[in-house]
Amino acid sequence: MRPRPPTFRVKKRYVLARIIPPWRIVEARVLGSAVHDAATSLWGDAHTALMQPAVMVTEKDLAILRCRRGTERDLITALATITAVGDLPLILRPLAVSGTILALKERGARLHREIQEEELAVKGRVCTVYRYQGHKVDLLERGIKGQNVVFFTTEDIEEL
Amino acid sequence: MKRTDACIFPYPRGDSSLRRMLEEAQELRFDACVAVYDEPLPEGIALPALRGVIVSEDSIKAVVNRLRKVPAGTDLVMIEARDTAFNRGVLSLRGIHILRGIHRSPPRSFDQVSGRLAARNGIAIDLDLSPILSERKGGRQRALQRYEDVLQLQRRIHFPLTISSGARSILGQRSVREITSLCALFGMEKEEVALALAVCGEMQERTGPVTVVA
Repeated sequence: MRPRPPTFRVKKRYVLARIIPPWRIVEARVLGSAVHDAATSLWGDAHTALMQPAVMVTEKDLAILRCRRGTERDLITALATITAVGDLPLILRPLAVSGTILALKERGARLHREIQEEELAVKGRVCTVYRYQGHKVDLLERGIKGQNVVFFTTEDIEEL
Repeated sequence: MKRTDACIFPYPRGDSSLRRMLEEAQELRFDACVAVYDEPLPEGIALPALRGVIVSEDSIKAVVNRLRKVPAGTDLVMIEARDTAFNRGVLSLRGIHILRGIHRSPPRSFDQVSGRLAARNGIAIDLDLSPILSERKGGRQRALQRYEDVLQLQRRIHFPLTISSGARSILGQRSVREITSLCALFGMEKEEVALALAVCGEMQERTGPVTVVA
């Protein structure tokens, strides 16, 4: 089947969003499912079908999402209601909206955060520590009952 | 106008330290936060923090007793809403700044009489966004209905409103823009959101720190 000429195609908008916590690695397919669920829960099947939300790509701590032009505000509202992907607490924070993926990829290249990972003993327990953006420190403790995360700063860690 | 998140719960109530939550709030375009925090405020915080105390009691008498024991240095006192009689009684007391948890109180427990009392005594009604974020289906729908109802009363009676994220983690905090989008779900206009976010700052400037009245 021949593709439609550009003037007959549905216009799209692309949303650049930051994945928080940034060290959480999540596949585009899994994230897309969470976005779809959040949109359906908030706006219902009919409006979600109109929005056509999709996750195009996830790269490090950034994701590019797609929706129909004119529904980007609704998509951003739906993104605000995401609190977890599967069992893992995770949120998406919108950073920019554009008409092309290329523009967002260029912008995203400037917004990537470098993350340092190390092991640290805190109160007798070994935790994985993620340091980024100056003095933000996330402590991840893995136990029998799953993961336990606390969000601190370097000053808080020094006081511990 | 200082944009203030009317209630956050830092560590140990939540999983994020006060410093980290204030840093996140600064990135999310807030100018201050009301923190329910028992320790003295730490040094080197990114934003001004107001100290809030939540009083959650079942009777007016218990609330009055609890108000006498509010720690020194508390900026804002918040009361958890209950039934109609309780809400009316609490809104007549002195030394209270915010009535919160309206979405958890019984339906019609905040009526036009309560609204007039709130307007007369300058007590704000808090719209906590955490049920809209974290709950689905019935819970979220109930919260949206209650907030729309409160908003309609507010447009007629003009009592102050505050907006809080109710966050116990940095993952529960939302930006000013996201909060504007979420408040649009129950019909709140952008200008109304801006006014509601400024209420805590104005309230604190007007009243100063809490003083023991009895």
